[in-house]
Amino acid sequence: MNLHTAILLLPDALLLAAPFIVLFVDLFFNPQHDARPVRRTLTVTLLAVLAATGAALAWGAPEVVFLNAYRVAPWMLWFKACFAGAALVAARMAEPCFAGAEGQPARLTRPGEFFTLLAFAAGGMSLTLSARDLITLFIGLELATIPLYVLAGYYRRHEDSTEGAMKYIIMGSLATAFVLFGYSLLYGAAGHLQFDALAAHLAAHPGDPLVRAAALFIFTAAAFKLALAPFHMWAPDVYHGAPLPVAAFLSTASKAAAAGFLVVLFYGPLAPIRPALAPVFAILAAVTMLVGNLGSLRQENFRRFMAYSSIAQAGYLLLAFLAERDFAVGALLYFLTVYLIANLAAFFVYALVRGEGVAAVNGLARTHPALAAVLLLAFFSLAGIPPLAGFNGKFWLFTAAAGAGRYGLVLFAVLNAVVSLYYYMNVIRAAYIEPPPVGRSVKVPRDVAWLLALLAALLLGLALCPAFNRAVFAAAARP
Amino acid sequence: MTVYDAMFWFFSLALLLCGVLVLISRDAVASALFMVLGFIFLAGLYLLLEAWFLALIQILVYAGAIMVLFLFVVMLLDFREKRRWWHGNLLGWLGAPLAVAALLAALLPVLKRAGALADAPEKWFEGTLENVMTPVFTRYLLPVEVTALILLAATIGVVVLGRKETKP
Repeated sequence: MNLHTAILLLPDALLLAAPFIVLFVDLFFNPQHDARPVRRTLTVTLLAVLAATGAALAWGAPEVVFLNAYRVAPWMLWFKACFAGAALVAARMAEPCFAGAEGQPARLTRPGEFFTLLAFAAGGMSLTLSARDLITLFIGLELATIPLYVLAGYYRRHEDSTEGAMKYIIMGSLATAFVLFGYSLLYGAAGHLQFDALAAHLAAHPGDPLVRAAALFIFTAAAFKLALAPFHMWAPDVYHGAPLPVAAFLSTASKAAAAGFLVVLFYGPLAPIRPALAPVFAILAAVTMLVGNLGSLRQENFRRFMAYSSIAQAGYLLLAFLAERDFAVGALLYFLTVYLIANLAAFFVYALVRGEGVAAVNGLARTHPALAAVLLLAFFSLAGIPPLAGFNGKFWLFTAAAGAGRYGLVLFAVLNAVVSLYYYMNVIRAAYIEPPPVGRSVKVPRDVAWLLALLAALLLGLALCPAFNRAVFAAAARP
Repeated sequence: MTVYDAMFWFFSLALLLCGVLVLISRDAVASALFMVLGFIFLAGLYLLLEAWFLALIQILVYAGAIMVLFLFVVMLLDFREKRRWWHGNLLGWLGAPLAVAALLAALLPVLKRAGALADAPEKWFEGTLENVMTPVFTRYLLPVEVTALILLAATIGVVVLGRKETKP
């Protein structure tokens, strides 16, 4: 193994080492179990992961296969950077959230474990994408979800949190059962677990009904994880109960991981089945958009609101799977990167304001104009208003659907985007027009100010930067 | 019908019956015990496939260790509320037949082709300890090692959720 292949494995090695580093520091160098030292450790490790991902994208080999079971390619690195970035921002969010403010149930007890579990989840997501056989894929997905069940119930004295975690673990286990059933049917049909052998078998027998049934089961499980419409019921309750940083991580990294899982399978071994499933994708995309948008219209609680908003965004995301591989992966990478940034920025502002309701940002423009501006950019980007990167993301997804000849679906998606404008604007209206409440104190530490400025600058700058576009589609074009 | 076929039908029908009984038993302990019985029949199916090691593990680990844990939990929690057939959940009663119909629609073409599926796979392994464990420590080494990470993450999670809070 030379340097160019080794450099591709570095991000994963660091990401999988991160939980151990955090645990180690917490055990030996943090006798008081304070949040700050462990959070800093995790931040430094994740920054190293991001740097390693950048280095791998710039200087790495086109792909590397490790131990015959693990494969790293450029588009996966992009996803891995997303997971690490989301974990980084969510970890920084944790501190103001758990500071014991009113309306928040508890302080962050056992911060070391909290950050460890967060790192485990990010590592599992990264593993899922790099799998080359069904067993690694399954194990990676489990490593990504089991820590999230615990994180969702981290306020364990709080009824909503426990209820949400319980729903999450039951629905998640059901999805796991579905995916396992799908894998076993697939194994029964092909007699192989390796992706290469599976792809060869499927290319030889594309009409095998057993494979079709397997693909349906696997897609159902992914639909659970993505919170697509008939399988979305858990999302609002889980987000509502989960601590704010966990809800932010669930709505960003977890969603990206589920999308990556679909890419791995439906543009990998299951690619011959994808055209047959296209009507299913189209119908679910339409239903999901509608349900998400109608659901967010009248939400009072911020996390519930963001849950429905993320359901609607998952509907748009599904449009990408109607297109051919290279374009679909490029559109997904673009959309997900921008969606992650916007969603994390929006969650972060609410974490600083420390409110449960959507109305917690009332009058923010008068008291904290910079925070209000970040909120404005984030929600404009989520709504897809032109000068911002969110518009380009949606544009690529809609182009993907249009390229597959589904103009009716594109029209429906555009109408949905118009509906979503209403509720995103509602938040902006609260921040800019409503009077501020009395006695709200918002402290913005300097590093958070820089982080939010960076996120806002990315939302503005990425859209105007053709190099970003080129980089995304170049990474996607190399399978 | 050979003895092999007869045993296959016996084990699989008994397994299905146990599965149904797990669902409809009124008592949680009875449900758990039917599950043990189901696991034993499943082990019988493994034996027919010459998967000796898997059959043994099925009985030792599932029917033994895991079910004992289940029974402990069921008895500790001591459910008083008896389960009923009719939960009054209209959506569930309408949705379940729909889901079953969709599943049958997906699987019916498979059943029609069952004769072709009955052909033996090209490679046939006897499920001895050596044959099962060699891939585990060669080709699937990475996922096996990652399983250790999952167990660690789950252990940390259990400790976090289960421990007493010292500070308010």
